[in-house]
Amino acid sequence: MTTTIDSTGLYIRNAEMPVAVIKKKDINKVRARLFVAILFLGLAQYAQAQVNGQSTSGTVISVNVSAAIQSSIELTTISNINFGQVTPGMTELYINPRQDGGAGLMRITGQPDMLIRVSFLERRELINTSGGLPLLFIYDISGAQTEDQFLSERLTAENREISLGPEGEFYFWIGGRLDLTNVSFGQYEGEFTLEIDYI
Amino acid sequence: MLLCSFTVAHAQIDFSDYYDTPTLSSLALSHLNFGTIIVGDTPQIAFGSQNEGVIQITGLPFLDVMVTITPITVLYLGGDDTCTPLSTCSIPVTIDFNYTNNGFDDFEAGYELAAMPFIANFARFQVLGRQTGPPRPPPPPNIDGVQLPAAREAYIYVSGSINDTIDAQPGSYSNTITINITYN
Repeated sequence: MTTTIDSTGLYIRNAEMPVAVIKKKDINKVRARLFVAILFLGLAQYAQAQVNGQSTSGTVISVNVSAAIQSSIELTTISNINFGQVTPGMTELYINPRQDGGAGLMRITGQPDMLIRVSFLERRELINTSGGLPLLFIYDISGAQTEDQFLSERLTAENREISLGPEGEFYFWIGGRLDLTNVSFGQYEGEFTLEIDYI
Repeated sequence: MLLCSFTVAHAQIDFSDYYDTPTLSSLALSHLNFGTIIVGDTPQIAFGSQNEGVIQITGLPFLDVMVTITPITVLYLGGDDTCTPLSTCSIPVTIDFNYTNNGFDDFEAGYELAAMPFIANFARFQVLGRQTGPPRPPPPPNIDGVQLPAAREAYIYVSGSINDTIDAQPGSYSNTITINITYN
């Protein structure tokens, strides 16, 4: 069997194509073949629809939006640093934050096990309210999750990231070294500022 | 008296009708993250900031894409949209969407040019926006032997703000935005 194409693009079967003689018992076979042909045609149309669907169905993507809510933190000063009295001849005064009862005490209250980062200026000047020369104070800080000064650990540049305790608390003891070289009579004042960053 | 009538009409050529090559994909380069918030704070992640979400669309440069967004209005504690009570386990958010299609492979470079906002959570734009100058000729037909131009990238930026956290319980909040992208 051969085919040719005419000028209009129509397929013309060759006249030599044999004519099929369909007997009655072959009708079912013909129907079966016809059914298969229709099925193939249907699949071809379905496949074509899928190709077109790909070009227009596109893509779906998800974007996550997230936030972490932390309860607020409170920083409370429980007691100030108390140096006691300075006697003549002293050149230096040191308050051990882990052992000295004169150390200042601050408490952070927040969410249990919350991670925070603390920072502070290690050197501050104490101002003589009478106009004398200031004194240099170098802070020494220790901290613990419970109010137990002797179990507290010194804060260094390496351990400024801390976790609040299971009760959501953390305690700081504020001590330091005071240079008395320029000390004179009068009252000295200064402040300690502890900054807290949420991690 | 001579009467004339004119019919004004316009035609639109939809070049995507003549292409059966999908070449459309999307990738989440980053997600919108408001970070850690203290109860009562109402932070904003602005367009162009570090914590915004960025979606990369890769497709044929001369085809239009339609981007439809299923928006969200709240974040849920633990991502659970069945949590109760909603007054304390959800936080209201406003999400903004912008896109750039200026041809930069690096989405950050796209900030240099103005981004376009979505209108009603929908935008239709060409994968590669037309550059300055006169209109370019239409794309080559999709026939055998013709090589399609290389795919290019457009970007969707997801930014927004948290509106109220005063009653929110502490914890992690999240939700998911679905973005549907099709060739026009």
